[in-house]
Amino acid sequence: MTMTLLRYVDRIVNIKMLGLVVIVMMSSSICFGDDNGYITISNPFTRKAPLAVPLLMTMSKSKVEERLSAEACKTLSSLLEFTGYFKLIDHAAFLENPGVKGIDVFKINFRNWTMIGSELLVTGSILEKNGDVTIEFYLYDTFREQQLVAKRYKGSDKSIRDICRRFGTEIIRKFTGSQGLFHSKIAFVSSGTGNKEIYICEFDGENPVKVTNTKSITLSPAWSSDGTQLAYTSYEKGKPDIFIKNLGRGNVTLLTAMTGTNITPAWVPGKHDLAASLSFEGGQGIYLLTREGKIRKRITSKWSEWGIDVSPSFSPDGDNMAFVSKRSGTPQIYMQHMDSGRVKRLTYQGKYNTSPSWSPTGQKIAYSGVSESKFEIYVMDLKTGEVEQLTREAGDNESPSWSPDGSMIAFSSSREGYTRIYVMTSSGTDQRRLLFLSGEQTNPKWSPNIFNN
Amino acid sequence: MNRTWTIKLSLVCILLSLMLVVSCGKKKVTTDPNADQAVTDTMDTATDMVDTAADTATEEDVAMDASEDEANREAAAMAQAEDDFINIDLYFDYDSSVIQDSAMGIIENKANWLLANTNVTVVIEGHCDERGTTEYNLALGDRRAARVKSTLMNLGVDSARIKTLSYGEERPIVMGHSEAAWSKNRRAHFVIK
Repeated sequence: MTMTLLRYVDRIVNIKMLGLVVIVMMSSSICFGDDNGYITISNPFTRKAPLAVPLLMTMSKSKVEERLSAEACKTLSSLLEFTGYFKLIDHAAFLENPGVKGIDVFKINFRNWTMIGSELLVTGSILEKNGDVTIEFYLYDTFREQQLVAKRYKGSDKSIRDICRRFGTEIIRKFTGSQGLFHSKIAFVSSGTGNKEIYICEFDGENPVKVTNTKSITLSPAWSSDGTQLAYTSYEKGKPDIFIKNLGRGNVTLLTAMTGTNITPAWVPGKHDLAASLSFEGGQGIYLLTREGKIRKRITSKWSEWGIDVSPSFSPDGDNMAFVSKRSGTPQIYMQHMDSGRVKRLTYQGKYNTSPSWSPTGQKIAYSGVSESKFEIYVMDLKTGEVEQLTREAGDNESPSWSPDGSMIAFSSSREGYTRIYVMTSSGTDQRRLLFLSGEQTNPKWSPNIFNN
Repeated sequence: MNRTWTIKLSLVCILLSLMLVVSCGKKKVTTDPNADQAVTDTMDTATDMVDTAADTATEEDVAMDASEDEANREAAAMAQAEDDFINIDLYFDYDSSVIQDSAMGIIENKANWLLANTNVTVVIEGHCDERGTTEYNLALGDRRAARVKSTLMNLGVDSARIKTLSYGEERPIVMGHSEAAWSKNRRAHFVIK
């Protein structure tokens, strides 16, 4: 049986990426608009698309292929389920098993899949030879009996997760037109060592790695737009200063150690500049700094010697900055137009609204606010001004951070006692704990998609 | 007669203690240098006895030398003032860096101590309770410390002698999730450098 089972061959490209070679890139000629029928763009999480991911057909029928097939099936299933878009159908319900029986993509019995309620089917094959792996993945609309995505990947037996991330991203792109979130990471603060240090895990909580070793208090990780650098606050010189770690090279440089409190760095989108809150002039204010730490200007005006302006978060185009200010007496969220300096107060409910996080889609700001003495996560629609409460009655919920495609929000919650990192869809559904580590975890920051690894 | 006895008794005491010191000194010399534990024990015993002897002698001194007593009292008062400077914190209302009227007395004491001890530089730490946002609390702690610094400057303390450092909610002095703990954690703390 040959591997050339594809019906549509649009184009052939050779892209070499760090050991994983995508040799043939093919896609069906079927296009979908907003009404693709699978995922409702306005609120995609109210109805999950039923999806079956059976085992891949093993080409040589070897034990290794059986193991890798199971790994690929499990990995792709969990990636897709993580997004909140899909409802994975239990393998026990399957009427056929392509992993054992084989599947001929020219003669798929779509009724076997529609009868068990599956509207979408991922199938394909795997071939392993001396550690080299070739996987073909297909996505079908089982009701329309149409092939939606077809891809072939070549890699090693160690690159199954990477292959699944790439195919998963193709599926998400087909439905939403976005790059999804499978190539993103989450930075956060953990107290597991007895000191607060910054860790980075993958978007789904896999492979957490400690990236600072300050042996002091380390807070407020902030990703550069390309995901290669991480700014943060640390007490390693005895007081709060801002440092930048180059994640590729691993070296750390001091951004600023002005007199006083230097905190809450945020990168200006697409630039090497950063905004940060400094107190050297009296009044904690937000300044614009170069990557070398030179102060370009004070962004927020000095409204009081005892004023507090902190926690900048930029709109995706960098034109506006949301931030927290005490100028009305209590911490509230404001936005400032960067060029004109025009300031607008955004939050009026309650006496404590902080941690603004501007959605990558530009329309919304997530933040945490106190309601009945508990912190809850809210999302404000900037066009309508409407506020939606996403968490309720489950401990304190703080520090929201959007996934790069705007489909999910990471946050910290004390709902199970200690403060840990949780994720949910941007509608507030599917709330669950992200990862299991010792100590407390706080302050998650979701990275952009990083495609070069 | 009473007085004579007292003097005689104290003389005996002093003599006894001197003998003990001497004999202890001898013991130290003669102790097997390889037996570390024995050396230590012997020395401890010797120290105890010397202390006892000294206590007895001091009782007599108190009665005889009032000026030295005065000096001791002053030293004790100075030590107490320094202890107070370090140990007495200034407390704040929730989400506020305003110095309460009731705290002005404490700040005046701090200022007076700093004016009397001109060689000292001080770090004022600003702290917050666990409620609220980590980042905002860092700023609030900074403002609390800055307000205390400003007040001390108004009372005549040179600004160069005062540094501020915010710990936000990172270093609570009292653990717990009640107002009892929170009110103790919203504070400015003084550290001598």
